[in-house]
Amino acid sequence: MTERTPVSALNLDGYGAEIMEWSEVRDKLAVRHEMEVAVFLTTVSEDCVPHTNGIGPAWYEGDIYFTSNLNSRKIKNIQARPQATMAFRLPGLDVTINGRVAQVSDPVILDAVAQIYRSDGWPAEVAGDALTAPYSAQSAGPAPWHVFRLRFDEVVGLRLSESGGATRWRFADE
Amino acid sequence: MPDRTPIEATNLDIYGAQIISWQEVLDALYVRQGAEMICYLGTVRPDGRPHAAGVGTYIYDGDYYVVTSPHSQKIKNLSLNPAATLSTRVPGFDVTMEGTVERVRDPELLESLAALYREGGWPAEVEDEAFTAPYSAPSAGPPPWYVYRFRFDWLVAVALSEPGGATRWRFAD
Repeated sequence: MTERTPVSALNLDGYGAEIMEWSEVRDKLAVRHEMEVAVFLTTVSEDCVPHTNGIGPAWYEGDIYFTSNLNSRKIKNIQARPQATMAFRLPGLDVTINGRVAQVSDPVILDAVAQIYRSDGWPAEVAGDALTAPYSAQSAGPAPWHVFRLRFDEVVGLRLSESGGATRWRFADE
Repeated sequence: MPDRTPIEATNLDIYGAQIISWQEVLDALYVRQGAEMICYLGTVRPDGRPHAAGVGTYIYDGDYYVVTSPHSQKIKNLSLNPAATLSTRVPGFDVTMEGTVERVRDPELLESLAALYREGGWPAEVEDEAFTAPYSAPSAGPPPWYVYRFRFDWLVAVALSEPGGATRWRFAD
């Protein structure tokens, strides 16, 4: 999967700030931030109740990946409704993303994602169609952790600085 | 409304950390973080897709309050389905909550909340059961902004540093 290019951009700023460049948001999403960045994933249950978890995602070639135990509530929700949002507080920038989540079993992607996590200090290894490690986040449940991709179709970037700036980009599937 | 007391606590940590003290989390929720505050409201669109919006919130007497345009997507969603999540990073913890949202019209409460916002540097005034001010966040849309209460039924805190821990609390009205 290669990097994605927005099909449209809309300036949401009501106070005269210029439209933002997609590369500003993309570059901040793609850098590894580890624990200083808070990221929350929201999913919806079959009976329309929203659910939010903190997650530690990885950016790889234009998509966002995360891991989860298959028995988690978020994965049960995604099996009923694949749509999800991710909210990132990046340095100077709030980013909210809408997209669809799908489980990934391509060994090339699993290897790449495991390597990104290892470079952060989490000793993840590929085991079959999932990742394993001696430990994970406190509330992650036991291994194995499967790998999921969030493919975004809409991203909103909101600058936190005085100069302002709020832009929405839409993406189409290639 | 006084602070709320959980009726149940569940230890989610599988690596031996103790259950987190509710008082410790509650104290962290009240730490004023100003513009640095990280807080997102999750709602459900009419077609069942989720929606996330960054919001500036205050916790006051045990509930969270959000100020927003009644024309925003989140409020359109909440008018059909009041279920919502609020997620925030406070000193020491990532906190996610599930609950419901309803509009606040009580004049005394609106005045107390407007005073909180003014202390925080946003010149909010109460007018016709809503807030008005010369400006708001870049994408907030024009005034008036309505005030909404988020009341949590569940709250999960995950510790960000040693000795770790992850705990879920349940609340009843």
